[in-house]
Amino acid sequence: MKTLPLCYRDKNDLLLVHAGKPISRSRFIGLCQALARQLPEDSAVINLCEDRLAFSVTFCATLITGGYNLLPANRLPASIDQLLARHPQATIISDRNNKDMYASAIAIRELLSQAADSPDLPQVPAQQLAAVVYTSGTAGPASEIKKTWRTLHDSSQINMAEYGPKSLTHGLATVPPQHMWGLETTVLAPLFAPLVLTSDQPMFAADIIAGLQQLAVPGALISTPVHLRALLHCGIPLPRLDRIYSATAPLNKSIALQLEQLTGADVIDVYGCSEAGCVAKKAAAHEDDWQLFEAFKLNQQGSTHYVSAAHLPGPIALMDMLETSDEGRFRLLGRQGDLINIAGKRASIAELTQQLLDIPGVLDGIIFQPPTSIEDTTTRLAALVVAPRMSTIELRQQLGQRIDAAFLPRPLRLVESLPRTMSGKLPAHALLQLYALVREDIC
Amino acid sequence: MSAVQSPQEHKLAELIVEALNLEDLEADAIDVEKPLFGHEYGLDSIDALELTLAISKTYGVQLKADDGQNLKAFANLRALSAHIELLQGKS
Repeated sequence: MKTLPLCYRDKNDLLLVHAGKPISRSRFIGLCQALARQLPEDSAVINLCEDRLAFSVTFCATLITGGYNLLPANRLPASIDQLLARHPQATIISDRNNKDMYASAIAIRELLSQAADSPDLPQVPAQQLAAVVYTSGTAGPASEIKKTWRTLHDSSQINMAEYGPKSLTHGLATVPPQHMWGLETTVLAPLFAPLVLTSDQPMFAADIIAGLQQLAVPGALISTPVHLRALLHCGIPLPRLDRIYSATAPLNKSIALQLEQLTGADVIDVYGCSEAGCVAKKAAAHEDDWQLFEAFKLNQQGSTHYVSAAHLPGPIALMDMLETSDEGRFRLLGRQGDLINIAGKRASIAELTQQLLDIPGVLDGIIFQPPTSIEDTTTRLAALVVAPRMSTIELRQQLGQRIDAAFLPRPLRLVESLPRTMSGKLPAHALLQLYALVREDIC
Repeated sequence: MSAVQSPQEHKLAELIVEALNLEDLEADAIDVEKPLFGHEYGLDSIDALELTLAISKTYGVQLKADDGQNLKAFANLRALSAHIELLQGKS
């Protein structure tokens, strides 16, 4: 059985800084082994940890048991219940005190302060299922993306060769560890490259900048266009940085250029998807074209593009429409079909609308993406609903239990009826006309 | 409604509605004691980020979550308004 190392750092190398304390490889492995001893063999673990150290320890401890991590896209109770229905043997590990919700949750906080260091370097079978990633932003049936350790291991090596730091760098991330971009850059990257990551995940611009000021030199910021735009506009001076990484949506070129001028950092935009991981990069301040990573091949069938690579189970269809040019360079032209991607989570218009229609009292309705004219504003969906006995506040509350907050439609407007055709279809132009009309009413 | 908005709270409620595009919500309808984030108004962490930007531009103060636990200032409209006044008093 072929095995691959869990980590490529030396035992005294630092992987993370947690609450001001450095976590070396041997400390980290000691924590993972201590947690693994409390878990059954071949554990299926629903990893709900929010703190980066707790998440990483849980992630690797699960691999050590021979098992796999289940990574839900959100913490909606309905999503967790569905996961448990599919994986009834799964253990929930959370660093929050939510035992009321999940009787089986293991509290990891005590463990983090007790375990002893370990010089071991665990090996993981290459074909072992390591993670099952969910991307859905609703409580509806979710599609599973399965990752073997070989896939995650090889992806990490490819990523670090393409955009990773070559010498010791200190990183701060504004992205959570659960989604693929956060998993690859903040959980896996420190195991494969000379990157020491701060466990904190600052939320507001002032916190992010305070965190960056405390970072040892050279420093890197791992973030998203939403956070980076907020940093530029918050009015607090930015410290010098070596690198800024952005993903989840393309970063505006002028924002990248300003960030580069203010911090001196290389601003690297990364393109990928949960199925394939990171697949392409560009210097966001200077380039329009993406450069496909060397390990990947790009093919086209009809209007759909596929990426393939030796470490992936097969060709993967991309959600975006592409215009390709020479030698793996391409531009993004927009999303395919009705898929929406907000904050690294995905949903389809049809799936979201179904959640709306499932609410008792809703007679008809649609959730859709209204046309936007201003670049770089946060994407928000809109809804027109026929529900004569309900208020918008009631509707919003009901939807909030079924749909991730990122996808909650805003504005959500009650209407008498939707402009459906005789066959029941809802033409886009008629929908947008009605939408313009109800918007005018309040302006 | 459990309590009436003070003039400062009303001004902040108007900023919230405007900054976060909550067109279907009247500023007056924001309950001063109900959580701003979570199911009630459907606001998420991206909204929190947007809101801190709008507040820094309007009030000239920077909101911080510090260690990630200290989010009490964002508990509801009343707490947020009081926190902004406190920060303005300090500067």
